[in-house]
Amino acid sequence: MTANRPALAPTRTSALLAVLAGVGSVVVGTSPIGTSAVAPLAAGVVGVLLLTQGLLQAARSWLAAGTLALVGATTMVAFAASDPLPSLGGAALAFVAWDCGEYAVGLGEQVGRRGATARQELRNAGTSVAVAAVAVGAGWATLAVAPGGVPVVALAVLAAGLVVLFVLLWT
Amino acid sequence: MTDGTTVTSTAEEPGTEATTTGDADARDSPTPDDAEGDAAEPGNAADSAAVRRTRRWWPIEFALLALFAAGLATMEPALFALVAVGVVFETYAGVRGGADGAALELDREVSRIDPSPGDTVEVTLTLRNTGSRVVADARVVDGVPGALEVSDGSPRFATALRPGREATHSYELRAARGEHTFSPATVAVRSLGGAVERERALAATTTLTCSLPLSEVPLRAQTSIFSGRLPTDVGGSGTEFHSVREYRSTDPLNRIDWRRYARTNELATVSFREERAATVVLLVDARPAAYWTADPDDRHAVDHAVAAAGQVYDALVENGDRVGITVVDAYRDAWLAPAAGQAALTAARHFLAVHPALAYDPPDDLPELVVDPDHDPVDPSPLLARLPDDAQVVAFAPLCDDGIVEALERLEASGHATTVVSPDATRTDADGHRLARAQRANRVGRLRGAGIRVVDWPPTKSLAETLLAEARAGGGR
Repeated sequence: MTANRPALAPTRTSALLAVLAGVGSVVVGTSPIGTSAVAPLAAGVVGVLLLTQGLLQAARSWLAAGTLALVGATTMVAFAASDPLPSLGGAALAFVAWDCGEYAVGLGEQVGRRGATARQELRNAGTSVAVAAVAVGAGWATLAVAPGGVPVVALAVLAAGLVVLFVLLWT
Repeated sequence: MTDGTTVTSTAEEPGTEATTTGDADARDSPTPDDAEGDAAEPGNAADSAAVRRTRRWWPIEFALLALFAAGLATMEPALFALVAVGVVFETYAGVRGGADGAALELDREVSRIDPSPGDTVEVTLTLRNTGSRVVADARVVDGVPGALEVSDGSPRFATALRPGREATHSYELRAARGEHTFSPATVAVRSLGGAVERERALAATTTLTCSLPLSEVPLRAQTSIFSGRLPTDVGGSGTEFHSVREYRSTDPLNRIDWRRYARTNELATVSFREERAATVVLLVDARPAAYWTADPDDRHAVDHAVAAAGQVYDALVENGDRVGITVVDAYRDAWLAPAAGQAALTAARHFLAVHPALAYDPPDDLPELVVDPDHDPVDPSPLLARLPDDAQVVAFAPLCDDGIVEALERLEASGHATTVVSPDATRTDADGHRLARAQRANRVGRLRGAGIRVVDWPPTKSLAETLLAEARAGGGR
């Protein structure tokens, strides 16, 4: 394997999709307030730049920073906007950007750019987008259940769900 | 490939010739542990040592906790809605299905197992999911032999497989002389969300045996340069006139002197001086110092020497001579006893292709191009002890040091007619090569002075071409 080491660069399809998702996250996430608020927009642009940097450098830490900046941007909008639905979409797309970006880096390490990967990358991105759609639905449902505030019961259920998930993931 | 049968690689037989059909297929049975663990639960399969958590969702988890904390602090419903979005992604990440690669089978098929050097070999990998579960994400890295270059495509691919499906991927290798064995392919299987990865080795080894091709340009016309069949004083068949005698009924028609018959109406038979097949030993210089190359990307002098030895071997055996092969400083390990006939050809081709003393990969510690004159003496005594008394020697050496020159002079002085074919691995256009070039020219002059015939061969030309040019120039001495 030493003689035929592939380039470690992230695979192209997923990298491109990750940047697209990042841009989409900013566009969708900040749409309720437009360009009137500078801070969320700036955070979003920085997020996309960090994401791009992470893909150019094949560095997960830059990717993660970009993703968190995108999530931060949509969170700011969620506070300010009267309609939080677009910011749910923005956050979901930020997660899709991370999924595709990390997938590109990982696949680049294991298979490389010269390998045959495009179909598999599209498959991964497709699943990710489907999950995002379900996620936005779940967020919307949470809002619908508690229009005036968050009941303690819903909070407790959410907290319990989080604990169960983390136990599942990290053990 | 679709019939489901798998056949173990049949490449072990020695002396595989370059056949004309040349589409012998090698298929490999998957490793025996494939059948195991089919029913095992994901996460506790037998080869769980290779299971890895990728932890690839950590930024989402981080964001989720931060959002939840912020939500508790502010009691803002929108933040909890964002948490719900993150929880769905985490649930996706937590799906462990799809990482069960225990039922995967990989076949490796090569377009031919006996290519000639420089040939393109197509390798086709077929990954099959024989189990009942979906394989969400399989990444395959084939174990390409280190000495072979991938000329087209990539030995790596990624795919997903539903139960019963298979995926094929092919790439091309350029063959180089020698015996090359594929290592098992590595397959990494990931769960749907990519949180769990299981790695395993699949597909048994395949061996490519890359022998020298039959010489494209026959050297037959020039064989006399190397061996010179030995004339005897006995009359018979041959080329040089010996005598004429009365016809006997067993004499072949082509030796009847028809002119005399026309003149005198008497049958007479012409006898020629009978010739005896020569015994020739080809001596290849493959010491580390001989791995000279004009350009790091080019073939080195040893490879040229081996190729030339193969051509000369073919030509001499065609001529009826008995030919053996040995390697400088490895007379005991690398000794192919002089023999004649088709079997000898096959054995020689295999010997030249795979003998470790003639390895295609150069040694790690290559010496300098310009060597110290006293460097590396070569002792021909073990060779002299083995050589048949009447054997002639044809040496293949880049003449990269004085040690080999002294050895060749001793061979000639011991009564073994010696010829040297010297692939020239120096360059005219590089400063570093100037001294090496001058030294080599001196060595050629010294050998010729000792009465040894030297064929100075620039490997950019074919050997036959060089010999023909020498013959036209009047012997080349």
